[in-house]
Amino acid sequence: MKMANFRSTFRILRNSVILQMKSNVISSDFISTLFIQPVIFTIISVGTYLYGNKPDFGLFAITGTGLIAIWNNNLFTSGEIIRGERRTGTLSLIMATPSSLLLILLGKSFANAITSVFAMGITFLTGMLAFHLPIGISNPLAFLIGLILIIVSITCLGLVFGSLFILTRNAGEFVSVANFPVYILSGLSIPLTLLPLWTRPLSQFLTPTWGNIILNEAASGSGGNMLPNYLVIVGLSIIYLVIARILYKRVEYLALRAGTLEQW
Amino acid sequence: MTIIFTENLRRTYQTITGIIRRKKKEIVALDGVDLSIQSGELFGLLGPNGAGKTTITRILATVLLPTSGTAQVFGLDIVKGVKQIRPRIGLVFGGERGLYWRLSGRDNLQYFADLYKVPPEVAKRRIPELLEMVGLTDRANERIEGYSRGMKQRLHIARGLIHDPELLFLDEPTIGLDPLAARDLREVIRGLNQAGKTIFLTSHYMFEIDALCNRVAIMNKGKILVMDTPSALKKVVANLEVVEIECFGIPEELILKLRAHPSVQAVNIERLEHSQLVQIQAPAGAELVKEFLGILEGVQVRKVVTRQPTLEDAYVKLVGEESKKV
Ligand SMILES: Nc1ncnc2c1ncn2[C@@H]1O[C@H](COP(=O)(O)OP(=O)(O)OP(=O)(O)O)[C@@H](O)[C@H]1O
Ligand SMILES: [Mg+2]
Repeated sequence: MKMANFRSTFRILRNSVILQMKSNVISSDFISTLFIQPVIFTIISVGTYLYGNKPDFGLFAITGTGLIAIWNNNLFTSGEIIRGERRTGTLSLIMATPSSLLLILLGKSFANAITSVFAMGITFLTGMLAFHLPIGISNPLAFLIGLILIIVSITCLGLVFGSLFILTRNAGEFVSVANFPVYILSGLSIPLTLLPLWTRPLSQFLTPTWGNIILNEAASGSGGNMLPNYLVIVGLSIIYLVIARILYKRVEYLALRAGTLEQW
Repeated sequence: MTIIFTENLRRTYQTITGIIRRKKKEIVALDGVDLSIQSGELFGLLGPNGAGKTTITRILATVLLPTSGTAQVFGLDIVKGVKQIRPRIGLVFGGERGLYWRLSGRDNLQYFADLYKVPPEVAKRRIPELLEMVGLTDRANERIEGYSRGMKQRLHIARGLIHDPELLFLDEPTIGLDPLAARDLREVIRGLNQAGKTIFLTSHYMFEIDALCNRVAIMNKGKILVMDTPSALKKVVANLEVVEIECFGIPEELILKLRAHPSVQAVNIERLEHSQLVQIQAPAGAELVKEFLGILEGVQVRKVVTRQPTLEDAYVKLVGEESKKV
């Protein structure tokens, strides 16, 4: 890649982030996925573990719930971004530019993902206030690096699902259903050890699985070297982007053929 | 040089009708369109609602695929050459959609400059120039939300020009503008053409096309009926005159009677606020006014005028003839 190309790519990415930040007002969706859901989910899942006499799982329940919130927020906002582009009539206009739609959406999705860091904070707070769980993060730096990598990675995974929204305005129903397997398979709502063995390879392919491991280890201080896990997340992100690129090419073609870019 | 070329271009849409018994229906939006547009032209495409104007514009602007047939822009196939075509064309749809409402006018232009990979130093110079050209310099830092319709439409034009395209597609750019704003916008369009840009314009308004375009195609129901210079098209109605009768509450059967009159070439009804304007095309000098008024016996008539035909009448005649065939 030439330097000028690189700069232009960076500019598109950065300005898409900024544009999305500017356009985002506090919508009711935003409040629901980032504040209300995390609180309720944390109470349910931490409560379940506590009453099941498994207090060790308290921390696990909290990071898991936080990741669910981040994942949910990402998935729905990436759909919402594309729906918004349809509504404003800009989807076909940005498609008509020489910039890659995937790159534009990556920037916009990432902007939303950053805001979802709140959700993680909220779940920790809920855990501490509602259940008096003694939660300290023993390795804050490892936790923070992990959190950033996970957010980037979840953004990439969200884009894979988001491709469907380009194809049809009705992608929402499908995505809400497809959403559950992801967090069950990633062990966010119940521990992975409770899942049948054959699901293991699927779990390993999902970035939230690794994210949950990293956050837990960093918070409890139980982990040794974090680098391998970080690398897995980076590797998975690259794989998601490659898949997304292939999908977007196909989906853009199908949308141009069906003439659905302007339907909202 | 040929900039736009299409041959036997077809486009159909699938729609689903009915809720319980779902039936697939195929709508033919373009039914074999042949076009050839040269560099430097200001080409006008005219047609009633649903004629297929937006469909063909979108196909040529690479945001919709044809069902079959050939379409080339700059001699490149619109599917295979899409990467080379996109940086060289600008696309402007009329209406209020197509802008980021929460951003200022300037930020909208800046964002599209990035997406079109305009080098920052060029964008820095061009954005103020474009804002000046469309008269939005003073309001450039306000959010689009607060813009009037005409302001949004002008910003659209600036957005479509941000990468200095050679070819500009304008789909009903003056729709919904007041007459003065529309006239200003037409001046801008004319200026762009004089500055060397090829322009593909669609419109409902004959006078707009007449005033601006060097060549016109009239289309209806997915087909091009005629394609020529505005003055040549007016020849279709050259030996006719138009009798305009303004009346109140004309019954359908009388309109049919007028249409059936052997000398009548075309009849168009325009609905005014409280009355109807019946426009009858008949051979010049045939002195048929009395006969027409005879047919309209019993209808309250307010005014009768005989006038020279315009391009609009040519359009009425051509589109009318086409509808009669079906
Ligand atoms: N996405 C779509 N799905 C189904 N039918 C469509 C779609 N877009 C256009 N059509 C149909 O195709 C035909 C041509 O539409 P088009 O929008 O090209 O007409 P137009 O000449 O631009 O009309 P107008 O003057 O109203 O803008 C119409 O019958 C329209 O209903
Ligand atoms: Mg149209």
